[in-house]
Amino acid sequence: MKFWKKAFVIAGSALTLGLLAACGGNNDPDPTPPVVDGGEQQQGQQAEQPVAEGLVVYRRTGASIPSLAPHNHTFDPVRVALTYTQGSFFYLLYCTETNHIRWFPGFAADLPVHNDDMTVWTITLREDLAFSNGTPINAHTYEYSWRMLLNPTLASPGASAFFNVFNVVGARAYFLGLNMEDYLEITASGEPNWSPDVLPATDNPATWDDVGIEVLDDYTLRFTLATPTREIDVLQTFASMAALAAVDPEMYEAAFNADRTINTYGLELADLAQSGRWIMVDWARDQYRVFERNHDHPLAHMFTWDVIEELVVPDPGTVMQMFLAGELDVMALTSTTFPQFREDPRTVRVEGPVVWGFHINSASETNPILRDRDFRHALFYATDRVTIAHDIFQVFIPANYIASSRAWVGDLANNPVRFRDTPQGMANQGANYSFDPERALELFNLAWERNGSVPVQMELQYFEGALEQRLASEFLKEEFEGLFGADRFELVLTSMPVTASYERMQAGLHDSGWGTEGQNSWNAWATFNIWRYDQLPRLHQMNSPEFMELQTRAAQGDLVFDDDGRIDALARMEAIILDYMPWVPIYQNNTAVIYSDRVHLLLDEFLFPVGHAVHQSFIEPNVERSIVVNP
Amino acid sequence: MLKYVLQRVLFMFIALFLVSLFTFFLINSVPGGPFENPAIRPEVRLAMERRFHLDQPLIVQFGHFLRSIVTFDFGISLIVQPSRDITDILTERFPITIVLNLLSNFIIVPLGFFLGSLAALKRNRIPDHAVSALVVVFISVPSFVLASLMQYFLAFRLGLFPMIFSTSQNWDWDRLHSMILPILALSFGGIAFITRFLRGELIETLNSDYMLLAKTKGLRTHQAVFRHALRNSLIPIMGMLVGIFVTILSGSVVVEEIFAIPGMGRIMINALLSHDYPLIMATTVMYTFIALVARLLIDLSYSIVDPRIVIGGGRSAARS
Repeated sequence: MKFWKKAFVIAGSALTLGLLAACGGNNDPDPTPPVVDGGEQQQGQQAEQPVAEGLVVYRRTGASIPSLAPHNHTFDPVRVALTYTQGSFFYLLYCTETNHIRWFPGFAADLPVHNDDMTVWTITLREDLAFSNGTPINAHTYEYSWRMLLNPTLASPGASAFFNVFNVVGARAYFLGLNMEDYLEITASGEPNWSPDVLPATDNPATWDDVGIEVLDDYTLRFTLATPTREIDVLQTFASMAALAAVDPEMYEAAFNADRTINTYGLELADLAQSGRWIMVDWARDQYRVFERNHDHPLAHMFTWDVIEELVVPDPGTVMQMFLAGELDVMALTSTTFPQFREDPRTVRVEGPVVWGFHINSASETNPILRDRDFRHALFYATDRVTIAHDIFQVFIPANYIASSRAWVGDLANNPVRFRDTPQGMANQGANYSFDPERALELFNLAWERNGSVPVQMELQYFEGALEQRLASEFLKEEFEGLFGADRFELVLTSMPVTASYERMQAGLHDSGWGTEGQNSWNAWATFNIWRYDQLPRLHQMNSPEFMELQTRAAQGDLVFDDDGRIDALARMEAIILDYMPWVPIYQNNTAVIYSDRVHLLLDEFLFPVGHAVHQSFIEPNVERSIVVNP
Repeated sequence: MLKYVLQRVLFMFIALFLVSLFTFFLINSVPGGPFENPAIRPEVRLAMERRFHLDQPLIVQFGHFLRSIVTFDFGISLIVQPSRDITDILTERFPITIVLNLLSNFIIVPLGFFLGSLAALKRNRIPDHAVSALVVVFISVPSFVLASLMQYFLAFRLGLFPMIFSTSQNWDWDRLHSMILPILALSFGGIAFITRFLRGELIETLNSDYMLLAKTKGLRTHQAVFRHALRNSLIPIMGMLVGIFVTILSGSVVVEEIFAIPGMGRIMINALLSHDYPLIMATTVMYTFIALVARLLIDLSYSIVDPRIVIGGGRSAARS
């Protein structure tokens, strides 16, 4: 087994070294196979792409961002802005010459290399890197940046990037101020509880030397990880580097307050050093952002946008009018606007990353029938997913599964396949999107009799201000009460703010409530940790030792490098969840956007993860800049 | 007069304190907190709560807040603009909202007076009916609906105005041009109130004995109206102005959203939704302070409008 594992590792590494083909920042004439090649499945339907002669201005709207501090963001629009303005080690892009998506070294000189058991990874940086203010970027810059990221006093939300999928030895201990021995003991316990309330205090906390991040020389970084880690997880960690972005040490030091508990780096544009594909040149909070191409970026030539103008326009009606008047190049379609543009050839569908549904409190003390598995299954089979997805939300797709269609499995380096297209994935999906009223009624009757044949009242929490969710809730109320009998079952709808709803579910005070769980498209096994009973906070009460063992094995154990074994494990984990039914899945949040006539998309069909490769698409250089940049 | 002013200022600070106290305990009683984002790991969340004293008893937290107010340091925003000085946020946002509101009021008063006078003088004739119809529309239709309609017809269809607030950072024509539609949208309600009220007041005043005397003395109608009748109608209207001003101030949130104006409204909404306690308290204190100062200024100006009113005068004088 060890021999075959080594052979696989060596063969896989050889193949993944084929990044240095034509199409990118390197001039290796040897056309080695691309990293991600799934044949027809992965090849894009590439459109004709002329070269723009003139300034290409791309205009769109975006949410207001509070700051550009890389370590503190928890808001997705900030992450997007950071991926533009901060350089990343690797980029996953569409190669127009080979017609495949592939990994490109950006700030890294090459792909990462690893030791035999894939616990030690080394990344070498290019030697010509610098911020836009001229400050050089090297390995020491990153070491300083990550030391600040993991600083226990600053308590940066982004710190978890180093103790999640990419689990660096000692990083969590250093961040929590734990003694290394205590940290190792807690880790080895098998059911670690990292809540500060239960962690042992110490006068001898872990030091930076205990953290598995080393600077070997000016341009080389070495990481020691707690568990063997696949290359895809390493590449992903250092692609779209937001929290892991380099900070200018001098500027960062200057941004500290007197007692070094607060740092204002990135709060204002003048307090941010940039190195990304684009440089933000003007920023009026709550109003607009302007980016300009960074010609010094190693991959600058691969992107077609010279200028990005992002306006903050909260009102969807105003956005639509601006789009129709030709003032914007892209508009996201909602349930209200999608019907109008459904047949428009400029409209494209975007695959959503997660599945939405409603959680059920399967350990409820106040509503015992919720503990009955048949009752929960009755709700599952009574849910008309097609009507909710197509008629209420319009753009979404019905989903009777846990892992979304964006979960990729198999040989992720060379031939990834969608889990949902595998026989194992399809086996978990019932016919007719699991809408079976007869079966639902049968199960409800069983549960009803078992629980004393008394009228059932169940509360369903939905998010305040979410119109479609309210409509879906009302639809469910009508359907459930009609099917089970209004004299036997009542669904009480309660609206509340998102955070309040999640907090209530975490405390186990709910009956049921809308919610979703995040998913990593390349590592669904890792993100299935949210279904573990020992993962806090959690919105469910499922306690399955089999599930937890499988999840550990697939995410960081013996199955990590077993592609087929992992597919089986994911299928089995999903089956366990669907059997226990702590959460009723309803739809996957696919979306739709419409582009202006100026935009000629590189790819006609959505191709995860590059989408339609709009960053690389031809845009007619026929509009002028509309925002005057303030110096 | 001075004693009266000092008394009012004292009451103002008492009112501010009570509003702050009530608001503080109210927002803390709402479920949720600033760091409840599921994306934040629990150990990170607890560390952040410790850093911002949110793990301490409420009364201690209120003490921290009072200390910050006294030193004019509202602290930093927790979520909306993390680590940013709230004073910087307010100085960046308030001018736009205040200008929007002041310009609206500058339109409301003269237009309201003009239409109200026109309606009263041309009572039961076509101008009166036209004004009344306008008043009904302005009162019945919410300002955000009018804003959307004006944006659609005047900006989108006819292209006469920009659809959103100008990106120019200077107070130039582009910026003012982009403020016309939102200012109008905010003004209509106030114009309608003043028009309707003034019409009623003027009609009553025009029928009074002293107006008959004025006409008998040889004054023309418009002279009698503008020199005598209007002035007598001003006192109750001035009291209304404070309410109109505060209504516009708080009601401009939706109009700001429609025209993408980076004003206080959106900050307030975001602060409330994200439980950014320091920012909520700061904006509440600011709004309350502005309303109380406006009230005080209006009260003090009564004696200018009507010399018979003596502010803080003797027992025999009319009190405001």
